[in-house]
Amino acid sequence: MWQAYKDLLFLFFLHQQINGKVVSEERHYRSQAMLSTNMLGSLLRERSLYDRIGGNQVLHLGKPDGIDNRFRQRVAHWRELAQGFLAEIYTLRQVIYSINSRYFDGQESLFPAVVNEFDQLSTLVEKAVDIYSDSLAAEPDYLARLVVETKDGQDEPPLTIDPAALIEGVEGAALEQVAYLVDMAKANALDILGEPENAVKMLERYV
Amino acid sequence: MSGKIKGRVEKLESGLTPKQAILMWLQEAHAFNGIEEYVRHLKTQPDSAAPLHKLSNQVRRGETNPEGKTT
Repeated sequence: MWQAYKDLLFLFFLHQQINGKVVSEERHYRSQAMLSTNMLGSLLRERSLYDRIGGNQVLHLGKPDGIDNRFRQRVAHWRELAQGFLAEIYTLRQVIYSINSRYFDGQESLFPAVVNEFDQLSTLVEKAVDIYSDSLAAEPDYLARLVVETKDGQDEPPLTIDPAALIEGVEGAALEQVAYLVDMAKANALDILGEPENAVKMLERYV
Repeated sequence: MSGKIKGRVEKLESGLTPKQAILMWLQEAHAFNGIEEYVRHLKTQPDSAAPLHKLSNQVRRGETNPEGKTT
């Protein structure tokens, strides 16, 4: 009987853990998503401007200190931000999927509103990355020339984002997060069943 | 729901394994859009409808009556 209660409480608290995690991270990611889409908008406007004045030598285009080089650095910075951000979203998606399939027989463990908001966020970020890939990741000729002129034997990082590679790369982080949520839920169950020492032991490795 | 039908449903819901009880509860809880709506609903219900109370009862009946519903 004791084990049955433990299992029941564990599943109940795991449901709480995953819902709580997605709600709090979704809020955090949403503000990041708004910021990055604003940055992307301003990069796109600049790109359009540079395309129009691309041959203007007054702006030192094609030179290491030229305005186009600084623009490329800003594009690379956005790419870094978006890539990190997208990886976190993919990790969370993998965590949700793992918990649903491993502990809830594939049944959705999130409340409908939580699923909806997370889906909206994922779509927003993936759309921004698509726009980036179509409009900024492919470097214009004069930037490609610049890379050749300035790399000094070192390769510049590519500006493209590879979502498939990101998805593969988040496996480890997702497993760690699932393990943490599972341990938290087990500790909650032990604590409520009057085994606080065992609950603390369960979480020691995270302290 | 009539008293007779309610009694039958309760009987069917008793004798569940922990996972069966949780999966059934998920369906019930997720009929509400979010946690806030669900909690607001629970506040209007008797104490016996509180999730842990109800789930524990369903599992206890399962443990003391292993011939109960298992699928």
